[in-house]
Amino acid sequence: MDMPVWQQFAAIAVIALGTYAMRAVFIVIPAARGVAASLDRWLVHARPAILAALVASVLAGTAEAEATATFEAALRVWAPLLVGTALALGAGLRWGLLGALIAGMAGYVAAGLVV
Amino acid sequence: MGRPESSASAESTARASSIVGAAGAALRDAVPVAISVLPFGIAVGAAISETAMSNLVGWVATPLVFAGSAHLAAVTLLGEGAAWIAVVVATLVVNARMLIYSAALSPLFRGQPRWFRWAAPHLILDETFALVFARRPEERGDRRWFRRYLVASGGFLGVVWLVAVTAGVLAGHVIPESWPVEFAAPAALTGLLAPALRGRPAVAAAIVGAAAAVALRPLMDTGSIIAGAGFGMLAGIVAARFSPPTDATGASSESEG
Repeated sequence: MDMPVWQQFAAIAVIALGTYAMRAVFIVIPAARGVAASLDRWLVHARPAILAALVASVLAGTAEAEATATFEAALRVWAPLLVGTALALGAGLRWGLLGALIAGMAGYVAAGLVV
Repeated sequence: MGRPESSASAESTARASSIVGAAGAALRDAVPVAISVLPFGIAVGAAISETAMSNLVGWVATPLVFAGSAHLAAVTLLGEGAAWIAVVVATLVVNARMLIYSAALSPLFRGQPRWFRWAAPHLILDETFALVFARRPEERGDRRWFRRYLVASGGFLGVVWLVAVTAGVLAGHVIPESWPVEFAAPAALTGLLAPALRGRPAVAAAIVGAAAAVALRPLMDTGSIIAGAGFGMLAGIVAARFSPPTDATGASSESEG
């Protein structure tokens, strides 16, 4: 079910405030810097964990939206997603975000044409 | 008793030169970064126009949140109809590295004017953090120089980011159905993930996070993202115990809006 617009805006407002608080906390309250040090061992792993979970979930959601009852149908849906993601990952490791975008989209389209 | 006119004039010229120098250096440094930010911003804009969420809300988030990966995560989750709390928690976890940037940059904000200490943290991004620390210590240690540099580089990247997302939102409506715009968000998220995969703990965090998110999806729907991230972080900590200490470098400074 779609979220009402005011709730979407409220979510964005909370995210904006939370992000600002994280950016400003040790600048406005320097005494709190010790907290960052204690959180450090969790925070260094947060980025790969959440981004990977997000990518996997988006791919699964995209595949769920399509008909995947037969092997052929599943292959038609999953092959472009997996090829595009693999190429985006490889290109991202080597050339950064721009390379990932270009290679990922190209791989997705090419695999879609092949299957 | 005033200072000699020539001395005041030299000081004024030196100050103007310092201002122009810091702003000019910021723009010179930020232009290559902006070139890589442009297509990402367009992809985020296209994702906004593709999802079920309000285009206006998605666009307003651009200057308010001013963080590309968090913005894309929020747009993707809101578009998927995720629960309000899941959107907020997932997005703030994505942005948690800002705590580290804030702690690292706080000495440079010491002695700065109050307006700067309160307003300028909004300009702290992966890019500006990397740009500031790429400059010489004596430059960023100069309070006025640092102030001009951060405002110029952050302000410039902010304008570029806003233009790119706006273009993506507007173009999203005119792009033909056959174009694979729906893959722009996963491709961009993967591009953000790639540079964070430095070392075994980060790879373990990513693999376990992805696997857990997919495995738990039938039970928790989009809430599985948070649960997956939790398992991933745990896996990263466990892997770090068995890896050399230099491996754990999740605080990436790669390009992102």
